[in-house]
Amino acid sequence: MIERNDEIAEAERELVRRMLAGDELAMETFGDTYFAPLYRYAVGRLSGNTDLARDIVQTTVVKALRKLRSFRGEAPLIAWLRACCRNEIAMHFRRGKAVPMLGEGDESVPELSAVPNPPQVDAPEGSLLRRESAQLVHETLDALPPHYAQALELKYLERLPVREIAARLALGPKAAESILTRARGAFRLRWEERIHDRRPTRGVGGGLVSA
Amino acid sequence: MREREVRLDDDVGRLITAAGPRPAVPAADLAAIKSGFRQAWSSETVADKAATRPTRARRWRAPLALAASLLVAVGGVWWWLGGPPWGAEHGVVANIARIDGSASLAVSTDARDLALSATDAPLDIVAGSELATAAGGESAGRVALRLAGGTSLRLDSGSRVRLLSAGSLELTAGAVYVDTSTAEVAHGIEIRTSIGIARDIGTQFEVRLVEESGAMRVTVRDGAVRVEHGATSARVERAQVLTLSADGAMVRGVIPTHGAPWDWTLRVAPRFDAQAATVSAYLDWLAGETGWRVVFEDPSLEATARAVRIHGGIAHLDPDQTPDAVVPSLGFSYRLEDGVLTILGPSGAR
Repeated sequence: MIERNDEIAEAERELVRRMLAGDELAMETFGDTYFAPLYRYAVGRLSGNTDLARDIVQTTVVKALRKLRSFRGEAPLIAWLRACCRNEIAMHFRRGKAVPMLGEGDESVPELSAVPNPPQVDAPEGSLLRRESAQLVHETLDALPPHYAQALELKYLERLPVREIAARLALGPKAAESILTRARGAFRLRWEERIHDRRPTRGVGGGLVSA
Repeated sequence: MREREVRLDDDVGRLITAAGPRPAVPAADLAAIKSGFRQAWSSETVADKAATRPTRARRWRAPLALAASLLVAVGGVWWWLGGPPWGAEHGVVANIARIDGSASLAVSTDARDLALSATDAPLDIVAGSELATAAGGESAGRVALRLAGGTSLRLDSGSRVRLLSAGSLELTAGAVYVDTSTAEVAHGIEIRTSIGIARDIGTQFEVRLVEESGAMRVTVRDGAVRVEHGATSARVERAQVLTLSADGAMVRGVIPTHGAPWDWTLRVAPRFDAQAATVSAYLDWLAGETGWRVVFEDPSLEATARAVRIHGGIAHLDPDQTPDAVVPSLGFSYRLEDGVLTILGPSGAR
C-alpha cells in the first residue's frame, strides 16, 4: 500500500537541477510549490508572527538556493527546506535581535526601545490543542506532493465525488481513485512519522534521512 | 477494501475535515518572498554563466569601454542622439536626464573628472563610471538619472556613486533616491555602501550615508527594501526608516511618505512632458513624485476630468509647484492637507 516514491525524489532532483541551470519555469515552479508550505511552517513556529515569518522564509530560501547544489534527494525537498528554516529561526533567536518600532514623526536618529513581543496564545486548553492538531494536519498536507494534498482536500473539505475530483485534476476516474488511495497512504505515513517523532523515510526500501 | 484500511481512510478524512483548510498565505508576503528569491536566483545563475563564459568573449569589453572614455575625454560630451536600445551599446548603464547645479563624472577608465552642468544632459553613462554632485551652497548639485531598464535614480547634493551596472550601485557619500515604479522591466537594484547593502523589492526609497554618525540610513516611501549587513538582513517597509550602524546595529523608526524628508527629490525630478498628456497621467506622476494622495471631492467629476488633455507650460516647475498651474486651468481648485490633495469642483474654495 505504501507507494514507492523514487519517482517523486527524482522529480524533485530534476526540478532543482533545472532551476540551478537557469530554467525560469523551474524557478517559478519551485516557488509555487514550496514557499507557501514553508511560510505556514514558519508562522506556526513563530506564534503567528507573519512579518517575522516572511522575513525568515525569505532569508531561508535565498540561503537554501546556495546550498541546493548539495541536495541529493535523500529527504523530501520540503523536509530539507524546513530544516533550513528551523536553523534560521534558531539563529534569529540566538542573535536576540531587538528591532524596536519608535514613535511617529521622529526624524532624528532614534533611541532603542522595547521589542514588541510576538502574539501571545491565550486560549482555553481545548482550543489550543485543536489549533496545534490542525497545524499538524496542515503541515502533513504541506509535506505531500501538491497533487496529493489537493486530491485529499477536494475529497474531504469540498466533499466532491470522485468524478468531479477527476475533472478538477484533469484525470480519468480510475486515475483519480488511484491518486486518492496513494495520497491517503502517503498522508498516513507522514502523519505517523510526526506523531511518533520518527525520522521520515522515502517509503518501503528507502533510506533513512533527517527530518 | 479491507476493514482496517477502511478505518484508516476514515481517520484520514476525519483529521483533514476537523483541521479545515490550510491557511492562505497573504499575497503580498508570498510576492515579497518570490521577488527576493528571483533576484537571488538571477544573481546565482548569471554568475554561473559568467564564470563559464569563454575568456575571449570578455576581452572585447575593455576596448569598448576605453573607446567610450576616449570619446568623452576628447569630445567632452557624448550626446545621446535618441532611440538606442537601452544598455545595448558600449556598456551604457544609465542616462543622465537632468543636472541641477554642479556635478562631475569620472568615466571608468579615465582618471580625469569631467565637470557637468545643466546643459550637459542628456548624457549616457557607462558601467564603472563615478558620478559626484557638489555639496551645499550656491553650487550645490543634484542629478537625476534613468538606469537601463527604466528605474529612476536621483543623487542629492554632496553625493558620490559608482554605477557598477544597471542594477548595482556603490554609494560612497551622500544619498540616492530610487524609484523602480518607472522601470519598464522588473530589474532589481542594489545600493552598496561600506556599511551594508540595500536591495529593492519594488519601491521608492532613499539610501543615505550619515556623515555625523557613520551610519547608513534607508528610508522607504513605497514598497519594500531589504537591508543586509553580513549575514544579517532586515526588511524595511513603506513609511519606515532603518538606521544601520557600522557594527550591525539596526534601529527602526517611522517617517511620513510626503513632505520635508523627500523635498530634495522634487528639486531634481525629471520634468513632466505635459504636451497632450492626460490629466490622469499628470495626477499619477504628481502622486508618485510627491507622495500625496490625490482625490476628487466629487467622484463623479473624476472620470471626465482624468480624460482631459493638458498642454505645455509646466516643464520649468518642480512637481509640488505644478498644481497651481494645472488645476486652475481645468476650471478647478484644490486643497492640500496632511498629504492629501483634494481636487475641488468649480465652486470649491482652496
